[in-house]
Amino acid sequence: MKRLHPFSAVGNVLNRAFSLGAFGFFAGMMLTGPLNLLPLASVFVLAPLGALVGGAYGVARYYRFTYELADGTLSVDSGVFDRQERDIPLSRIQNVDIERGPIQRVFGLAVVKFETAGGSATEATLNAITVEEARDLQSAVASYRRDDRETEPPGGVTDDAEVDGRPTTDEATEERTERRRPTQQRLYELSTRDLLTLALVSFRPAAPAVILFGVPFAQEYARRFLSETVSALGGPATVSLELVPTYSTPELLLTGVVAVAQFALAAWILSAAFTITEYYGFQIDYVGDDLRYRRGLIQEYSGSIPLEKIQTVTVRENLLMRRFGYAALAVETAGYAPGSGSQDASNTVVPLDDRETVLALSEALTDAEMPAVEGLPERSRRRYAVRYSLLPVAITACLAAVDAFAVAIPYWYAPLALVPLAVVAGHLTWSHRGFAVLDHLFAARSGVLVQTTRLVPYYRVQTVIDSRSVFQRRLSLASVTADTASTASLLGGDATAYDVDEATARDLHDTLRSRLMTDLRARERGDRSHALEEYVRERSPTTPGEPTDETHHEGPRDADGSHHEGGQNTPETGDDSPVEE
Amino acid sequence: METINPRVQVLWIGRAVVVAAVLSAIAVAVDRFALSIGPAVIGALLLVVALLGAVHAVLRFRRWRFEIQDDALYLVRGVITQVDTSVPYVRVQHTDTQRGPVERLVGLSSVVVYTAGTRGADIRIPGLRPERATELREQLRELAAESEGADAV
Repeated sequence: MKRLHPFSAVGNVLNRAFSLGAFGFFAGMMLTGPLNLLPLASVFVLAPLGALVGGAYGVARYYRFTYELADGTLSVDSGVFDRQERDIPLSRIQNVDIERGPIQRVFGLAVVKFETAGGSATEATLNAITVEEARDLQSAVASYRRDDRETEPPGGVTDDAEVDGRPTTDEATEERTERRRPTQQRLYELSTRDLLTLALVSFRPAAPAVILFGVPFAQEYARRFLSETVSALGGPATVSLELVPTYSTPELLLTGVVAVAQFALAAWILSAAFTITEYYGFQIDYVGDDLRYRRGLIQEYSGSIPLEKIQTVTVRENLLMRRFGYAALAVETAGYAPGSGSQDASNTVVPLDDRETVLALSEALTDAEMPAVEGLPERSRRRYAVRYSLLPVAITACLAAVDAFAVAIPYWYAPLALVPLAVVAGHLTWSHRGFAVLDHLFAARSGVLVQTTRLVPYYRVQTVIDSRSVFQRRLSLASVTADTASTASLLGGDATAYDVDEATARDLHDTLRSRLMTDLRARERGDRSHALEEYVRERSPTTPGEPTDETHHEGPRDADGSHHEGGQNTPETGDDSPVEE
Repeated sequence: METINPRVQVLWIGRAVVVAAVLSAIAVAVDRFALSIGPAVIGALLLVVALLGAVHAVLRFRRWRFEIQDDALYLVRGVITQVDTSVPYVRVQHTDTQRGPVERLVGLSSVVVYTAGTRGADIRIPGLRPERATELREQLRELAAESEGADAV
């Protein structure tokens, strides 16, 4: 059993000593001051005592926390009073995330988080160990999974494949592992230009929130900045809340507009800064059967996403991105607990790039071309238009009632002007929704502001849910959801074909069900796609010194050269005909 | 398709009456301490909510059906929004039979089927006689185990 790095213990002990010491101090102050139970001197006893107990607890925790990776299991023993012994089978690990803050980077440390499906929190957190150890654990998990699947003895790989195929990045750390390491291929790298574009077109709700909370602290600067701008534009010389009643209407209007504009600008800049710190240096590597990501300016994030564990692939385009031909790509696993903060970024494969690049990668990941989605029936459009029109109509009805029975309201019918807008919104919703049934996956698209296309391989479907509300039944429409174990669907991201014809829905329901079974059986026989490997191979001409196909991959899977599209990766199975219905 | 036990209606109507009673109690409190509503309106509220609930319960019972199909458990349910769900046996993680205190009172029990999905993670079949519930749970367990065997071919 191993312990965490001693440096982490030092930090932890100091932290706990400080917090319990502070608690002792305030408790002492309370007991001596208002309650007058103890003499004042006791503060000088309680505070150090608290610090001592806190520190001792920190030390005890450090010594109680041990972990070990052996026999295909990650064992973590922890807890001082509540002792816990946890065993996680390596084959069940979904994501491994490595985080490094600025201080940890100085000391060469890293926090490693292991995620499994289920559970409401990260299943095991090692805070902190050396980076080398972290990378070793990461590759040990990956290679265990590979061995497990291919049931080949470890070390059954020729060394030359390992040396030749590996690109030159990160060699210093790579060399530390003496276990066999699969080849590492750069799958995607975010260029500086794309990073800046991403910063400009993406919006983070955190930015306006930070500004709203921050302005009261920097009130004077904010006010002065606003004053200067307003007076330069011919408004009142100084702006302050007390002076507001003295402004004329145009002055008030100008001040308001400038204030809103400045707020928006500040939020935009801050949002861009957040995005840049988060996605700086973003890159995705293809290592063995994992995707390895790395990103972050101040806090460095890296981690692995096993290809085997990917539940759904999502292509996302917001309004601005779509306008300029950009898109983003993400994959979802069942690893993260709902609502865990960095989830979105951890699952990103391409934060932003031109649509073609994104589609090519999505194609490689899913082994399916981006489908032309089937639109919805004409009557769904009517449904959306009516649905959106209900709001202005309802408001008008209320105003009319008030006008008739209580106070007279001039222009009570004004909200009706929104009805054409509602109809347009209905049309947009309708035209942005659709679904497609492909060879190996189901695609569902929706969303006007952020258009999302979810690609669900049939063998990932958990349950099929077919629902018809009263209003849908009137138009004989239905919605079909392919539920998966991906956590993103908790955030309203289901793969759902909305408002399709009832008969189509029934067909879709049956198709999803039967394709789940056939594709599962096909996978059990080992008919796995290698589209990603091909994608990587096609890209490799950029490094002309590299050897040919065979050395890019290792293991018996390539010994017979059988990694073609739809080919199997277990040579012992003779049947390689792809299973179709 | 198998239907559920009619006694479940008693359970659901009872639940509706409780909801109506709670709403009426709130209305009484509002009537007493804030604006006056009047006993007639409160009585009507109690009646209407209870009646609607009862009608919903009856319709819900009539609509509820399930079937053990070849490769999946198929459920048909829902009054206002009709929902058809397929739960493939390969996806069944575990199954429970549950008997709450009120359910025990009317001599019924439910089977809950768990999957790893996010939306249909636990699927409940209510209104089963205890013997049928146990039988169904065992049947589902076997089917789940079998389906895994078939996949390993």
